[in-house]
Amino acid sequence: MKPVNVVVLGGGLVGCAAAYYLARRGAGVLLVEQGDLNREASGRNAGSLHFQLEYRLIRYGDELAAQFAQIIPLSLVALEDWRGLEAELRADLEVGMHGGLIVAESDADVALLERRQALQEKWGLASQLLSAAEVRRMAPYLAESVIAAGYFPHEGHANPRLVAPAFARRAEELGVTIQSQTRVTGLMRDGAQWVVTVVDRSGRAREVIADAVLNAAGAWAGEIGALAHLHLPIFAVPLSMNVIERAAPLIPHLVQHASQRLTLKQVAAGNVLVGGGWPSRFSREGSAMSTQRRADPVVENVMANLTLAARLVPAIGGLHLLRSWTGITGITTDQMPLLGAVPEAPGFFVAAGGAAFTHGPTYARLVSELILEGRPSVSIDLYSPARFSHINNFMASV
Amino acid sequence: MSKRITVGVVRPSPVSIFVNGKAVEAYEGESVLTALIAAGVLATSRDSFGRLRTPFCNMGVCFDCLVEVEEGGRVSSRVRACLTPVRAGLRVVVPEGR
Amino acid sequence: MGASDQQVSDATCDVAIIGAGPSGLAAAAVLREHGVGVTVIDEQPRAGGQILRQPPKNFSVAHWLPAKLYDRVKAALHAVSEQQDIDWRFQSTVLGILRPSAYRTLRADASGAAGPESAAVRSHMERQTSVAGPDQKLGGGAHELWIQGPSGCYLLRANAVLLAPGCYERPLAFPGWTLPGVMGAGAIQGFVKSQQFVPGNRFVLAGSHPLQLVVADQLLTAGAQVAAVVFTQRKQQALRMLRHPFVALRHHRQLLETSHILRRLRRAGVPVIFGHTIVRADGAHAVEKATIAEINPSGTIDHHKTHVFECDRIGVCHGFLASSELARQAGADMHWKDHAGGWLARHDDWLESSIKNLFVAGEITSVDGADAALEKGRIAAVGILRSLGRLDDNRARSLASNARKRLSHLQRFAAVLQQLAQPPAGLALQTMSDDTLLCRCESIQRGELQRALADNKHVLSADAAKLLTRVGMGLCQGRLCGDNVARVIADARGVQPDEVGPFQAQAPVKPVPLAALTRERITSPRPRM
Ligand SMILES: Cc1cc2nc3c(=O)[nH]c(=O)nc-3n(C[C@H](O)[C@H](O)[C@H](O)COP(=O)(O)OP(=O)(O)OC[C@H]3O[C@@H](n4cnc5c(N)ncnc54)[C@H](O)[C@@H]3O)c2cc1C
Ligand SMILES: Cc1cc2nc3c(=O)[nH]c(=O)nc-3n(C[C@H](O)[C@H](O)[C@H](O)COP(=O)(O)OP(=O)(O)OC[C@H]3O[C@@H](n4cnc5c(N)ncnc54)[C@H](O)[C@@H]3O)c2cc1C
Ligand code: FES
Repeated sequence: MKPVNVVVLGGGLVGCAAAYYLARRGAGVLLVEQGDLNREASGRNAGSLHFQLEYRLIRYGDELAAQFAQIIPLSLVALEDWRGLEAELRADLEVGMHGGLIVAESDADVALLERRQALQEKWGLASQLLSAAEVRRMAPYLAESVIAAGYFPHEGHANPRLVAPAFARRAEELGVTIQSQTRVTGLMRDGAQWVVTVVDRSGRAREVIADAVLNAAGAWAGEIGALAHLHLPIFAVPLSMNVIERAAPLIPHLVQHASQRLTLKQVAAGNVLVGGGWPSRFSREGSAMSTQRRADPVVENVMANLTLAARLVPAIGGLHLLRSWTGITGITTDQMPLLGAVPEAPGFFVAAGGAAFTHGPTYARLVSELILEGRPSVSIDLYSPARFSHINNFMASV
Repeated sequence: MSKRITVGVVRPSPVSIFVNGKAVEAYEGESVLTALIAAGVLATSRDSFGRLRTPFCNMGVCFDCLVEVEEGGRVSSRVRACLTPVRAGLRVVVPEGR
Repeated sequence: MGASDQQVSDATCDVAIIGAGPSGLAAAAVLREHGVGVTVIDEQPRAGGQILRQPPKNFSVAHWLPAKLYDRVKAALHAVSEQQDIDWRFQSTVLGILRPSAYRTLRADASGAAGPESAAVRSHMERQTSVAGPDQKLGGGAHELWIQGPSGCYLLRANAVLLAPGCYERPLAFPGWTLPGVMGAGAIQGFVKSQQFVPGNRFVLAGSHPLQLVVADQLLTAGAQVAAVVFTQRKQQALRMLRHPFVALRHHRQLLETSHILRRLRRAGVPVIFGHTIVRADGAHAVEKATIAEINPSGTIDHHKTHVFECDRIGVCHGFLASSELARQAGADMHWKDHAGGWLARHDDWLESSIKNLFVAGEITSVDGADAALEKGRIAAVGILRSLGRLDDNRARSLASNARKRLSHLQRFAAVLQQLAQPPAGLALQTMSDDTLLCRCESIQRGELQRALADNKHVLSADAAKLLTRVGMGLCQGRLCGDNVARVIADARGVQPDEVGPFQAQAPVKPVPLAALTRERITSPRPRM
């Protein structure tokens, strides 16, 4: 085994992909995951590859939307990354980029689409506004109530079940050591190095010394930050997802709604995935919300989510809801990713937050370039944890 | 061949249901699955490979008996045939061919 | 209130019982006697559970289940089944057991819930929710059931829940097991006892559970042909256990019944074969023959020593798996006991699970049979009365003491039977070939899972394997493959099946038609394959 240069904390998509990119550049990598690989957000998400601005970014007024639109340059990089991913990993990831429609059902929706369109254009993402007739032609499966849609031809989806495991397989081929069912419980800086305490399934603790640590713990990135005596302003939120039984191919696009929480797509096996950011609920542990247990579904939200889906795509109304599940993802205070070095803790890197299924491989690639080469091939300064230096300034030990 | 037990059993008068449009005699209250098997239909749906699916549990667990049922001109969603009682005039759609 | 016209209930639901089998019925009787409001929910059209699947109401059956072994459960059924003060909700599936939340109204912000549909959903939910009166204690301990009834989905709040969902048959996967005509032996029995229908002509029954003798006997009585009854156990082994002094003395009734059945089968010329297992089903479009093979003394199948039986139906009978999904979904502590039904709910003396006011009874605590299920239902009911403050501890103890005594006797017999009825270790792994469908719903072969495990060394749990390969992702939600999947993974990783875990259970625990969820009239047919 190579000496460990980097310990990657978290075995979701970001962690598995980072392990791969780091190893490809020759680093010795240990990846530590408290549960099984890909069992949290990265394996439980909706699989949307959305490059247009999501509803959560546009709904809080023009000023904030303009700020959130800064994600687009990264989205455009991610788009290119996804195009090459199946070849790079020699795996079928069920990537389908056949276009995304954000549908409008009212004049207010149309106005929202227009604003979104303008912002996207400003940052170099060329989407179109389709008329009712154009929508009908392109997507005959949509209901009559759809009067317009924002269209971007390269949006789509991939299968979350497959992506992180493919990265993990390739990472292992490159010599990465993966320890699942192993939890990180301590992080200490010792001179230029990090001492990482990990506890395996049988409760045995050991220490690993590394030059750098990469916090890829998703919704739990804040807790990992705390182990290193840092504040990372990322919040765990519980979402829900639904899958409808298999049907004949019907929906080639990624479908979203202009003003309501909905994402809908049909995966390769024929199942229709319905989500869109409807909340589930954390259970309580004393006075705190528990992020270590699966969140509970909120039945009304499941019903409302599916009602909306069946309204927009009437043909799915005769099918069964196969399963619903919940997943926990991390949202930062300003909705931008936390991507880069924490200046107050040399050797401590973060890649978390945001829509990190779409952006995960890109986060991972760029942050590994930063770790090993000092600068990434595309600037990620906009997303740097340095923007929270006004907090960590008071946390740093030196 | 399957058969309904008649010794010691009194059923209501038979009604017609329609399996792929063809009239089949059945009894109100018995399960749609019973009526189908009595009519010689064991294959209730197809899997993704086009293979016939066939009821296994007769108690609502396997979902292999999901059939499309139409009542009063309305297509309802599919139901588990083993849990659904026959009513007169029910129309059932099952896979045709092998 | 009748099942079909059940629309809105504004009655306060003190106790909701999930499952109208022996344990649910026995509990309902006790609760009712104490003046507690009881709502009984069951997917089936009538009460009785699996052992007493009743014929349709409008049938009249002269000698329904005449055997003595049904007497006690029948009495329990008749004691309550016509009681109008019990709120019976048949053809109703419990989809989840949820913690009630303060957050119970849809958020009507622009984000999602706005619009007439969500308002309709909301008002529907409000109507169907039994809201407890102000004097009721709702906090810690109350539960909310997500129910799919005949007219759609709704939530029902209950101060205490008794979960008595029984068990289902443990499937064995072997080449041809998805061919039309292969069913559970209990499934076949269900047709006979409830539908008064013989679902085939010539049957082979194969497995390890003595239930198949009962089924064979019932088939013969109904005029069917039974080509063979095949047991995995060797004859000596079966006899040795049955002659166990405890069993022989205490349970002579059951033994007598068994020997009567064996005699009747012999007289009818039905071969009862020991030490063999079903290894394949063949037929062009449906079952035409069953192949069985000898199991040698070391427990491995000898594929050279086979017999073939012509038949049009095969009933497989390898015991039962507890219907553990709701308990797991609710987050109750579970434990695994292979021969007692797989994943079982842990409970205290009063059959309260690890979750307050979620009681468990019947096969979900251990597959001990119908008579034991009755006693568990009675004990749990007393436990509920005690927990709701209707009985003090002393009174509760004395009320439950007879049931406890009977239960402990029954459980000693059950333990012997469980051992006797357990298929030989490793049988499931031997009957599945590489291309046998492990997961019927998603058409995943055993070999596919095995290759995925070889390629992905970090897959250790059933859930991780599911995510990677789709096993267990289909309509049965893993009920028919979960046990076998766990065995394959455990074998590949050199661990025990319980370390692999069950698939995670989530609400809804069974698929639901979208129409029932959205309450919108469906006008277009489903897209076809
Ligand atoms: C329901 C849902 C739908 C979503 N839909 C989309 C979508 O359509 N498109 C999109 O782009 N994004 C979507 N997202 C967001 C996306 O899934 C996440 O941003 C992304 O998966 C995050 O990847 P990750 O690797 O950072 O985190 P995760 O996949 O959550 O991985 C973090 C890992 O860290 C591990 N960990 C935590 N603490 C420790 C510790 N102490 N020691 C060791 N390991 C630890 C965890 O067990 C976990 O496996 C969705 C999220 C959810 C929940
Ligand atoms: C197919 C089959 C045949 C059997 N035949 C016999 C036999 O002949 N003799 C014998 O001694 N034992 C038999 N058994 C074993 C038998 O189940 C028990 O001994 C006895 O019926 C157990 O009683 P119970 O109350 O625990 O559960 P059950 O009798 O199984 O009752 C549970 C009830 O809960 C309902 N239910 C489950 N989940 C839900 C849900 N989510 N929503 C709504 N309702 C739900 C079911 O419809 C069922 O009616 C059989 C078991 C099976 C599976
Ligand atoms: S036969 Fe299994 S669900 Fe109906």
